[in-house]
Amino acid sequence: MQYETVIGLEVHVQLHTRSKMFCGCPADYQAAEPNTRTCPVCLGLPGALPVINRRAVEYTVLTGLALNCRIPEFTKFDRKNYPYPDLMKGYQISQYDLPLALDGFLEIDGDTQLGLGRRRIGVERVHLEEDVAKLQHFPGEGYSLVDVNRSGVPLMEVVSKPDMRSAEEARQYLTLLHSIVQYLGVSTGNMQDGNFRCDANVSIRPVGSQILGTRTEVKNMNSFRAVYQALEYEVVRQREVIEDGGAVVQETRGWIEEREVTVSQRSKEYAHDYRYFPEPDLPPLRIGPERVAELAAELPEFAPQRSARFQADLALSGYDADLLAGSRSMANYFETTLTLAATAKEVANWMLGDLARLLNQDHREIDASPVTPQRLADLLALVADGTLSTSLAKTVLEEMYATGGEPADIVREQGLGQISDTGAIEAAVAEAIAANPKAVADYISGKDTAARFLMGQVMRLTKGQAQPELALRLVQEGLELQKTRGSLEP
Amino acid sequence: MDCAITLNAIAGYDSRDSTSLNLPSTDFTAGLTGDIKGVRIGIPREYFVEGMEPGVRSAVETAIKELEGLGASVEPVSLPTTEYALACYYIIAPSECSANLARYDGVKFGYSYQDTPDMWKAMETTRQLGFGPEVKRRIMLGTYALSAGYYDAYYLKAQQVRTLIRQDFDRVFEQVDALVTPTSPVVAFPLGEKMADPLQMYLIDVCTLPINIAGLPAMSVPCGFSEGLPVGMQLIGPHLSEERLLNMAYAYEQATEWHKARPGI
Repeated sequence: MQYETVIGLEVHVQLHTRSKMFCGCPADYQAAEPNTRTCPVCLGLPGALPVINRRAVEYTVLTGLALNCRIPEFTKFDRKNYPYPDLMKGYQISQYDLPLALDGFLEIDGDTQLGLGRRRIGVERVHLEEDVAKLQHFPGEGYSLVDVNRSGVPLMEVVSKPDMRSAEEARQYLTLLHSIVQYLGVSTGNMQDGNFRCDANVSIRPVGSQILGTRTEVKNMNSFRAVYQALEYEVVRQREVIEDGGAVVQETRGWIEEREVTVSQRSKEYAHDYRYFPEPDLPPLRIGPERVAELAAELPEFAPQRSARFQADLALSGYDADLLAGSRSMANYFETTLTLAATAKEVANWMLGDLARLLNQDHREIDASPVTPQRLADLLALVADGTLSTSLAKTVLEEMYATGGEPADIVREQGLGQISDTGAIEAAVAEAIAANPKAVADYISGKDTAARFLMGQVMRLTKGQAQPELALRLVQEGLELQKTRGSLEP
Repeated sequence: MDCAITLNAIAGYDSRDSTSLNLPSTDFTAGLTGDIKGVRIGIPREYFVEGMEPGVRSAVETAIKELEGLGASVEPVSLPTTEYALACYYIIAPSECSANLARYDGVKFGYSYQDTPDMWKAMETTRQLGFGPEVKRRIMLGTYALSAGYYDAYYLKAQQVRTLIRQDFDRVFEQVDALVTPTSPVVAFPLGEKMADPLQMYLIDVCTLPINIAGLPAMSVPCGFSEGLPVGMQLIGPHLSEERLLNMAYAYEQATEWHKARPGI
């Protein structure tokens, strides 16, 4: 029996706003001491009232537009009621039946292994809500701790249609969604930090069936890789259950990273009745078509389009173009450097090679690079005009990265300019020839490669600064002179 | 006058309250001329209910005559949705409060029952011991009215009826400038007398609840006594008509002495 996998994803994206969703507390809680980013509103103290964060609404509309959604003119917030110690008010302000965006899609390449090509994965809706506090448990100790800093941080939820047919397609969808929210700048989208959380709904059914099988909800996947592995595992598990004659239980299952399995957490048929009703403390919002048009005009060129443009206009390879277009900051850095009169291939090589290496060592993003586009362009100019050899330039780059200095200054201070003064090199050539009689003899007896060896010696003597082509030529001239002399000697 | 002064002090935009209107401020004392000639008053017949105490009825009717004497014109009007306001309110308000009161779980503030290692037991007992019977009653009513399968029939329906109630008032205010009704169909009852019958107690609100539902400005003005206990007349106006209402009350006060009298108890 052949089974088809059906996957839907719910992604919660923490929005990168300055303040929380319904109060003025700073939204950057990651580095703060527990319970230092709070106020009566996000603490849920009696009498405190919510006020909508405009930027969060704009970010959500932008995301909806980027996902090809319809932005309804009328939208509102609702209360989702349930008790839990991390939910300060005993209800979460969310959106139920009139979300900010509806009926969108993302185009993925498709799982070619399944014979599926490029197609649309439906986005059911995008809505806005507030995050809950963070609990820290101490099993066996008899207490848990509540850190309210995260309570009230804006959370955007993107719900897909169950259109994905494999873990691979889920990976493609997630990667693209991640790239989009990053590109928009609405979120840093960091799964490890908890700003990009993914829950999956998985079921299987016989190929050709139109009826959905019983689904399980899979949670606790904290990386893209975990999502992939968890989905692969769950599909196999469900198939085995059915083939053993059983039925899949509708439940929530948690992914256990260390054991690489999903484990039942609670029965989903106990679905909470959230008693949704419109939030009486907040007026509904009217987002007119004019405002939507304004926001649509703010949409940037996204990664796939940017990469395609790099390939078409700048003749970059697909691989390089994808990497450079991969993040908005990378792509911007690249394009800025290009405007400072550098060539695409050069910049690409340096950015993806040495600069990337330095940044990765430090776990730094390109935004935090001490080597600015201007400085990189200046460095490349020095290579282009012959002042620096490529290998010397690499040294200078390291210094620029370490000190944040200008390439011209570093070259001057360290006397690193390429020596193209013939006289200076000739002195080194003479020294090299005098110190390496065997090499000279080899050359005279016909071993041309000895010239290269001597050139290497000249480079060493000039601390790598001799212009390589010139050094080689002078070495060859010097050796020829030796040859002639030798033949003249008795 | 006192009301006007107080309103001056408390009225205004609050940026931390999303339901607060952002309007230029008004001096509510400035319009207190005492002149209400030409003001059109409507008397909604649905507010003069069958169970109304005769002493209350006569005090209010006398007050209306007084207003007429001061130059206002009086006409009967009808607000047919009035009878639904009570039910409407007692679905919406408990529903909202069932959510508003959810935060009282003893975890972050207030009374907290700690004598158990079980978190849920602690929360439940905190609320069991911390809330009084009327509050519990309303929480249960509200939770029920919002639950799956009942939301449409109760909460949603009540909100829709609320719109109809507001529309009734809008329509009437095209004819008249203000409405006069009793504030309550009965005078104050002794403390504890109605505890066994909450529904009886809720019925007392029948004149003031529609105002809440419709979100209209209203004020109660002392207008007499019945069996030694004070009687109030309620003035209701359309949205943002506080100045006119205050002036009506001011005019009435200038012509009568009720606001200075004390109950004979």
